[in-house]
Amino acid sequence: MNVEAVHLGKRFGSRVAVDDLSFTLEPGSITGFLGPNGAGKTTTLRLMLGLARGSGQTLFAGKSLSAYRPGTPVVGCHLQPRAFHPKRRARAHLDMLGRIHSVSPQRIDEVLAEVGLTDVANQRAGGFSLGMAQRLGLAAAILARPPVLFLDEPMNGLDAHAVYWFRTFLRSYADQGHVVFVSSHLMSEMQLLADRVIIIARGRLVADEKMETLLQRYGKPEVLARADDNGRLVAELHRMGIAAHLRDDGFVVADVDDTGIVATAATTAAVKLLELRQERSSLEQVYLELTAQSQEFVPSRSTP
Amino acid sequence: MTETVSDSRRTSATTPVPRGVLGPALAMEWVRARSILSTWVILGCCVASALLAYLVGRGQADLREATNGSLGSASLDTWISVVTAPVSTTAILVGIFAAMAIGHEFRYGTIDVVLTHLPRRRVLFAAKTITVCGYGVVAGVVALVLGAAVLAGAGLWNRVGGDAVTPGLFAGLMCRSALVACGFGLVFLAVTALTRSMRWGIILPIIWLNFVEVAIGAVPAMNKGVWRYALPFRDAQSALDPSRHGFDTAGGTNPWLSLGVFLAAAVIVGWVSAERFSRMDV
Repeated sequence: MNVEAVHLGKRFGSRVAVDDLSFTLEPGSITGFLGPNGAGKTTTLRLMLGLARGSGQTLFAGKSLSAYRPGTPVVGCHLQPRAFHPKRRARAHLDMLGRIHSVSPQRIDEVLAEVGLTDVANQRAGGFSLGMAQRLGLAAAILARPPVLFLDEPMNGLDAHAVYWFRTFLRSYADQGHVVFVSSHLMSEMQLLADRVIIIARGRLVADEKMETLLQRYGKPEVLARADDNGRLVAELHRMGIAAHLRDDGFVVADVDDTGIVATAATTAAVKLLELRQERSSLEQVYLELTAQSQEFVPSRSTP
Repeated sequence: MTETVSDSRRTSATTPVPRGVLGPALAMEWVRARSILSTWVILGCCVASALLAYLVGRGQADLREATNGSLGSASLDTWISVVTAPVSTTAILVGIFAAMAIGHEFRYGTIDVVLTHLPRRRVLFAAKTITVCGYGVVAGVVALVLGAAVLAGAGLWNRVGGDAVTPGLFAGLMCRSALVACGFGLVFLAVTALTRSMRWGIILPIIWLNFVEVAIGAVPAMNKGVWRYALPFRDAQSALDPSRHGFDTAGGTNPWLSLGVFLAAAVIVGWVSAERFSRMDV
């Protein structure tokens, strides 16, 4: 099922939260949704799901969500980590939502097992840790196996094991031909997870590309080197007219795409190279560059 | 819908049963209501309030005996006042249940999940209204029947009401009790949906009932002619107990007309709320 967001727009008074956003989500892939705080990510998700009212429309296989007959599993969402009644038991929470789609009790057991909550299925959800709450939210989203999954910051507050589990799970869900749309602030995670990235800033589309294409297009190639005398290596590179600097972790970063140039500089400067490799900017660096002018809240000092 | 995956496992997740448009929403509402303790606590309170009938009834009977039966023609009014006493409490409790029906969704953020699974807001609102009305009918009837049963069981039925109490009168009262409880539920549900706050959904109608209408009702003109029907919550009380506001001495009010006005007001508030709910950001 394709999902098309067409000219989405939303204003809060005089402030434009989402400004004419259009994009398409493809089945079988994970699309990351990135943007600074206040960029309009959550508002966009809510607009697409019909939870917020604005202009434009979102089509799920050519139809608006409300055009589907009640009980048809179209989209599952997990927008808040604790979206459940705290006194309701986990199984009852899923049972409640499952009734909309005539989900069988066996399927509820299956989903609880899938997210690892079988042992606490009969406990009140209010006592759950953040990780368990996130899992319950995901269980509710996938309960009826919808072809589309929307997740807003699903990995917030999770430990490394849980993040790994989430990543593996979402990959396998997408591999079954489903649409997975995930907003997150965790760039390193997103780089590992997403096939495609949509970046917005101040409600506007900044980038909508495959991860590889984005990194190739915006990511600058660099050469990282570590020598027995980093200062001399940097000086030699400067003498050769190459921009270079010494990073906090002890690496010399040279703005070139050829390791040979740095090796030549090391030979000329008579320094011994301990490590030499080429790197491309990470998603985080690309993201920071693309959204540099669009931060909503900027601290007055970057260091304490 | 274009299925991109021929996933046989998906067919095992859901069983396609034709249930109409409202069926899925009602099925969800049933589990929602029964899976939280407060639903049963409120129903328990409705039952407990029936005990009031006994306490009030016993007091009235004692008074009647003390005055050597000189309460005379007021006995039927007294009986009605006694037997409908728990219904007034029940109506408020049904209102609280109704406020929770949608207030919890906003408070705990489940509205997002529910509306994604069931993206038709009017259908969801209608399902909640039906659930609240169903609960109101059960609670209203239970309160009245238990109130009457307690009176009868304690041997106070005839001591208070005399022979004037007929099955037809009792059936009418039972019907009005159920509908008053439904109306209260609808008003509380509507106000909660409008304010998106369970707290305000409970507080505002209670303030209106106990302060605003009392203040307006204190104006003498509001107790004459058609103005006797102008205050909806007062109408709800008159539907149960026409003598409560002393209108009987001024020509009386028709309890069915009072009920009609109250329900009309409740339906208007409910309709406005449903329209707003279907358009607002949640």
